[in-house]
Amino acid sequence: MSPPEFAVVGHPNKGKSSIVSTLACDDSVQVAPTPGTTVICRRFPMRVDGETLYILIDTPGFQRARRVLAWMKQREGDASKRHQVVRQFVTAHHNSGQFSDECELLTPLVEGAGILYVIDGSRPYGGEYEAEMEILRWTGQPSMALINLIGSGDHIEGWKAALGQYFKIVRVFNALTAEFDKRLELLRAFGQLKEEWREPLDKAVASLEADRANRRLLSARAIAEMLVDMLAFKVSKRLASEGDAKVYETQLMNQYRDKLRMREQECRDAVQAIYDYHSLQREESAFKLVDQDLFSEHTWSFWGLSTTQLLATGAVSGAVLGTGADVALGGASLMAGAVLGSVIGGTSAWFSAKRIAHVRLFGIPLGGKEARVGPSRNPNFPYVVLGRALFHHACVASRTHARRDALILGEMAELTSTKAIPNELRRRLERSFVQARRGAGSGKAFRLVDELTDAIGTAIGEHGLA
Amino acid sequence: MLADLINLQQQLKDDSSLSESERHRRDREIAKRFRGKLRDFTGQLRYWLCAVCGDKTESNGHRADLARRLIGLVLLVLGMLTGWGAAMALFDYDGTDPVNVVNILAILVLAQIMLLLLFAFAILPGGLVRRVPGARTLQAVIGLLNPGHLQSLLARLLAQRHREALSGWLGWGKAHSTLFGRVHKWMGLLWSQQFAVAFNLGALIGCVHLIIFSDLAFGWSTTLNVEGAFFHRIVSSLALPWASWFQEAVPSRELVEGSKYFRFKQGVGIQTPEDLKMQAQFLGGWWSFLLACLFTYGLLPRLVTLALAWWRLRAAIDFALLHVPGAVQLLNRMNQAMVETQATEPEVRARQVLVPRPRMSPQGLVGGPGYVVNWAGLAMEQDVIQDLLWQQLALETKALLNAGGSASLDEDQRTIARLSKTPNNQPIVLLVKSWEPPLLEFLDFVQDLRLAIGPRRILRVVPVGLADDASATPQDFEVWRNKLTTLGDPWVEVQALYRT
Repeated sequence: MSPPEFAVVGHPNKGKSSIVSTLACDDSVQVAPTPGTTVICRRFPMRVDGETLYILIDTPGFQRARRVLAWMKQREGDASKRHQVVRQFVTAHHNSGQFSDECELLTPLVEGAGILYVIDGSRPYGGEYEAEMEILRWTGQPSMALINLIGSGDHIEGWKAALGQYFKIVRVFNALTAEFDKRLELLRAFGQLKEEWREPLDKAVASLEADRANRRLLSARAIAEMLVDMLAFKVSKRLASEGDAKVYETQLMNQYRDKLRMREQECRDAVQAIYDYHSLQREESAFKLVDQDLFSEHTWSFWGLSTTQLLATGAVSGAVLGTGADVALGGASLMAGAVLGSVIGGTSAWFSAKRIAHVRLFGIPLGGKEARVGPSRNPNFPYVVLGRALFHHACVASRTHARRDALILGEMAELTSTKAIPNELRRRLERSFVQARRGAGSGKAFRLVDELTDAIGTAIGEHGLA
Repeated sequence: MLADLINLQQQLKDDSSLSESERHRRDREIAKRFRGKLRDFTGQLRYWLCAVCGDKTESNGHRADLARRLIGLVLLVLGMLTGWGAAMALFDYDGTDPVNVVNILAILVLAQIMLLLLFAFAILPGGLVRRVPGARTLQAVIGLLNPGHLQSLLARLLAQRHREALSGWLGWGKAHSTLFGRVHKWMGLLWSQQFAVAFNLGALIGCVHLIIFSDLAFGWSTTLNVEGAFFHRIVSSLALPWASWFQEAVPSRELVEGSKYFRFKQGVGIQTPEDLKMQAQFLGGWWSFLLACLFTYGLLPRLVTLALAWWRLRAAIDFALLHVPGAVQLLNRMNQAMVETQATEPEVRARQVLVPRPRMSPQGLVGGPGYVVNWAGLAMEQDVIQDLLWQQLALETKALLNAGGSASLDEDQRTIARLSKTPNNQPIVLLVKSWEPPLLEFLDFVQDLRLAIGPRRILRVVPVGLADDASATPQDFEVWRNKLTTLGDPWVEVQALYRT
């Protein structure tokens, strides 16, 4: 059995290509305000391991619907012959040039494609749509009307009343803001159009859900790798004398920060690629909040932990270190290490909260000194980085491929802030951060990445931080 | 084994020239053919490598692995020769002084036990070593004693391509020590254990050879004040592992007591030829003990450490294999269904049609009577339209006609026919919905109208918006203006309503 096909049809400039772009996760689709951008049908097969489950077809819009309908009415027989008249129309005008758009959009319909009729619910209904809806009815194909919302107006009710006369199923679907779940819901609705289409559509939905979960996991790994790299990162320079430390301090600090910024950028690129955004780079200025400098004061106060959380987190890392001492003493310390560690950790977290890293001097065995910046001991640092990464991920994951505009940042920023991470999860993260700061040796860094991937995956998946 | 690691890392680097979907398709296909266990990820990686690269024996990985094995082989030979030489030196007997058991035990047993302890220290995990002050330095010093360090020297004996492949990888591995540190460590230790096994084997063979083909007399002698009973306790302790099942290899108290010799006595008190014969048999009684010692404290532990080094090297390579940059992504591609939703062919864009863009009519709008066409049923009352046009364009509406939208094509033609009969000096205003795009249907109407009314009569297209003042948004106005310009008619003008 051939896979179900769905032709997205309608008036020009009502968001057909946007809907296709969103459902196919394809940002290569040309979405423009100029009518007639789509001139020939473009197919978007949904394939799982090479098996095509359904095909979306982007079509040009109706340009001369009344003339087409007039031609058909002249040849009208009884209702059972109408779909043949549509076929005759396509055959008769295929190469005429006068109805090239109509022939192009009707061809998949006469070949059995389902109809997804798209209108813009932000603009009022008008009589000019009736001819095209009538033509679609003549095709006799299973159909559904989608009310897309391009502008800010609300004419949905008027549209529903009109569409209800031509289509059994009428749904509102905003191509620009549709969450992933809404997209799946729509696909399930496609399956309701025809009994034999249900199975492949259900299978497609299940595959898309699994694929989404996998993308989340890959993103979590990219973020975890970045965190481990950034936490252990340091730059150093050999000095001829101790006095040179002052000379190179600014240079070293800038080098340290630049490298970290670059690493963060790499992670963002990776996450965008995971979600198939290949041209988003050019629009990155849209990420205003995320684009603020990693080291700006605003960034730290926005993304970092609160003072209370910092104290608690510092206590956890201190306790982790203290417990190590307890273990080394075979428990003879009666867990005093853990208690003392948590007190010291909490206190040092309080005092070092505003300093990312500083230049330190080390002696070199064969003489001379080495100035070193990093790894950052600031307890807030990984949370700032993580918060920004989670937010960036949330922006990318929730964005539809139809969007060509800047990102709108709303409440999501608060949701993805690390302040919203539940205590238990934060404790898990902190344990890994402590290990990473120590500079994980051979092999351990990779286990840390695995642990952090797991924790970040939980933050993204279960706690809805993205 | 090592070849897989090097080839995988190389192949993943080469793969970056392929697109993500190309890689996913290929890797998924390979994964479907894999018949191993579901979660055998290293097995999957090796299978993938084999499928992608085939059995290339001329790859860098194979060359480096061959070099590694050749170095191991050279170390084996060196070890055998050293062990043989050591046995020859220690068991040297010229008929004067007997072979000193103390020397043999010191070199072949005690020193080996010491080296084994050092080996045990060298393989302590990094996490544990970091906690003991000075332990890392000690471990580094022990590392210097590793005969595996001879590899750089021995590599010079290899063919250039093998030498370069190995040194290339060793250099790369050093630069990425986080990932390959353990592989390096265990490869060095494997080489050292190969050498140690060969040494013990050589020593054992040398020993057996001398015992079989020469007449050895053993004794024990030391400057220290060691009583026979004490020495017996030492050798009995050493013989404990085999004492219960190999009694012949446990020196008796008499043998120990009787084989002590003092150099100044010129031998062990041999008097007559009969004595000589008896003494030779008696003193030769040590050989079985010494062979058992050499086997138990030399060869056997080294076989165990060789197996351990081999096992750990394999584990380190497997670990590195799973964490080579790109391996996690490769496994993901192999184990996750490939979901494709994007278009398979590039988009065909509308061809930009070049049209003449004549300057619009210079007359501008003048007040006076005119005819109005409500295109596509603009939802406004007639008097509202008239007021709007009067207020904004000083147009006195002589007649308001309908066309487009739900009107039939015949109605359109009737409107055109009616307008063709109106005075030529009075403008025709076409009111359109600014939010709807200009369709070819509208352009057809304008062209039909132009044919009917003649070439030099002004047609004003006025996009009406949804705003309270009916003005169109600048974007919508631009869309209409651009589209109508394609008609190339200088007497068709798009007129904006100003904002009130």
